[in-house]
Amino acid sequence: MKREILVLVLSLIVLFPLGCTKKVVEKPITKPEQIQPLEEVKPPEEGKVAGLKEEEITEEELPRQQKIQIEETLKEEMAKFENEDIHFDFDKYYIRPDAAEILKKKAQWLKEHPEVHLLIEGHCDERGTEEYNLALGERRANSAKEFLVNLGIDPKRISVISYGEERPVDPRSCEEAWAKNRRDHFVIVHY
Amino acid sequence: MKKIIFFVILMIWPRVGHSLVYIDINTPGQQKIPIAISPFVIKGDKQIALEAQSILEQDLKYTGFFNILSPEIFLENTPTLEIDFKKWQLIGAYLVVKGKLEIAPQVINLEMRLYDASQGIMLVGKRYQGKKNALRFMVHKFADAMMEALSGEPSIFQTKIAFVYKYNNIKEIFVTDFDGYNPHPLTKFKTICLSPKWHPNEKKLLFTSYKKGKPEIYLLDLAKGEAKRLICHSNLNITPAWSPDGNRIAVTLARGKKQGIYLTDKHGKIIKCLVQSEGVNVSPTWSPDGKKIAFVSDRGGTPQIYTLNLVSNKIRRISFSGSYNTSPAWSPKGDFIAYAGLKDGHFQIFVVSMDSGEIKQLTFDETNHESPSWSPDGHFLAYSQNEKIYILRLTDGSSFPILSLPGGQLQPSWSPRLK
Repeated sequence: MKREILVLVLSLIVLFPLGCTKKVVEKPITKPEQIQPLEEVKPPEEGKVAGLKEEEITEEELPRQQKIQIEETLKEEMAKFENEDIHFDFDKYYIRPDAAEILKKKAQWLKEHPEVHLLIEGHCDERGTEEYNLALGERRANSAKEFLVNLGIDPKRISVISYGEERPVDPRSCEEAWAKNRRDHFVIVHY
Repeated sequence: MKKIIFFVILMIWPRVGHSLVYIDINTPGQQKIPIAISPFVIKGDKQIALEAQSILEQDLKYTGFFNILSPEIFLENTPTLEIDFKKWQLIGAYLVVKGKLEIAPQVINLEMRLYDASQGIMLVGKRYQGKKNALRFMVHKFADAMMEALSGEPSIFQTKIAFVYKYNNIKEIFVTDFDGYNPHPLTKFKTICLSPKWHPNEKKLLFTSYKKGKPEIYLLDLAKGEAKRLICHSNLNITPAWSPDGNRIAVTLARGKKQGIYLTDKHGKIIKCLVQSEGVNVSPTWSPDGKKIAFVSDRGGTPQIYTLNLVSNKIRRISFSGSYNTSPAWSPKGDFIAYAGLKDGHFQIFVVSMDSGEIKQLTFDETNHESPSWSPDGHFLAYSQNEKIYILRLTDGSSFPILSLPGGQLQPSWSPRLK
């Protein structure tokens, strides 16, 4: 019992001075006077300091500008990728030569941007029956997916959906509108 | 004179067994039966009695089997349940309907009778009691009892038609009575809902919706008032069709690189693939014996109707004229498949006989007629014409619209007889 008390007292004695030393260390840090000399250095050599500053600023800004440029060009490329539909003949889902050219460009770009995942929407014109067009739209989206996969794109990066005749880009009832509406639309879902 | 009338009746209405068949539903173009709706006996609001008479008249007109005589020529004009057959024979009425309506604050009592005036007998007598808003239902029920007595089978007066209602970019599932009365929404998904299909004998519907992004199959239980997602096996889950026993569903799915028609149980679990190919396989419809399905495929280069024998797995093409034939609907008796075919730039409704393979065109207007759906008695087809629902009466080939709603109405699906 006496031993235990002794150990307690001794440990308190050991711990207490440590606490004291910490408090002692904190005191000089709170004094702000040592910073003042640095402020005094700035005013005299203005030209040199300014020159140095410019160099430092340009060095800092250059990487920032590059980042913005990359983002902007990527956005432009992405918009171009999404805005360029491929088109189909009436009631058909094979890839036409003009569509093949567009898909080759898309495949190249997808290879350069392996982080991009996309959704291919298959659409039809208003002619034909709704149910058949839903099925046909899926075949159209699937044709483009297969084409891209054959060019080396990972099928896991591509999902497809059919909208049948539900979402025309041109609501008019004429050959010009129908030709526009028979399309695959490409949407980047993740990059 | 009596002998002559009796002879004429025998000539028009053949005897089957011991009972007289007034309406031979298998003989189109037969003479319409002259019928008189005698003014009803009324206790209470006269307006309601006139409404009851009007509902009955509309029902009888709908069938196309009756020539409804003008009350102006009636010799018996005072409302009574008593009948003097001679007075009706003299004006050429073969059938007479009599009715009595009692309107109390809470309930209405309706008694209705159908007489054969030439034979002097009562064919149907019914008494109904119910709330005021059940009047339509009571009259429809009597009209069905009338048709059953006259033809051996009730008509479609207790059926409904589900359809797609289109406004802006949204399509919802709606339902209306067979005559266009009381159209109202069943879904409020605020997205694209398509292809409603009634359960063969329950108050349930299957339909397709983009609610969760891609087209998937939902089950709408009207008794419970709830819709739940039932089939979501692929990017494409469309055109469901219940088997005649209600235990299985045929549905189009796109799995892997191929699109096919799959068989699922009633919970949407895949049993097997029925047909698949690199091309389109869509819009299955069951034969009433459940042994075959008809579907649309482009395996021959253009969309055509094929049948698949579920026992032998044999596939047979059944549409041979035209380059675009879709939307098959197998008739309730199994004798015909109706479909929409492109002819001279417009979709027309056709039927092909399953016995002879003979194809008959049913619509002729230079506009689009799509999505035929049979009435449960097989006497009518509902279809959409320029985004409005029309009824085609097969006995005389005439057609009429049933709704006057703004927006578009598409893809009708005729219900079974609902109890």
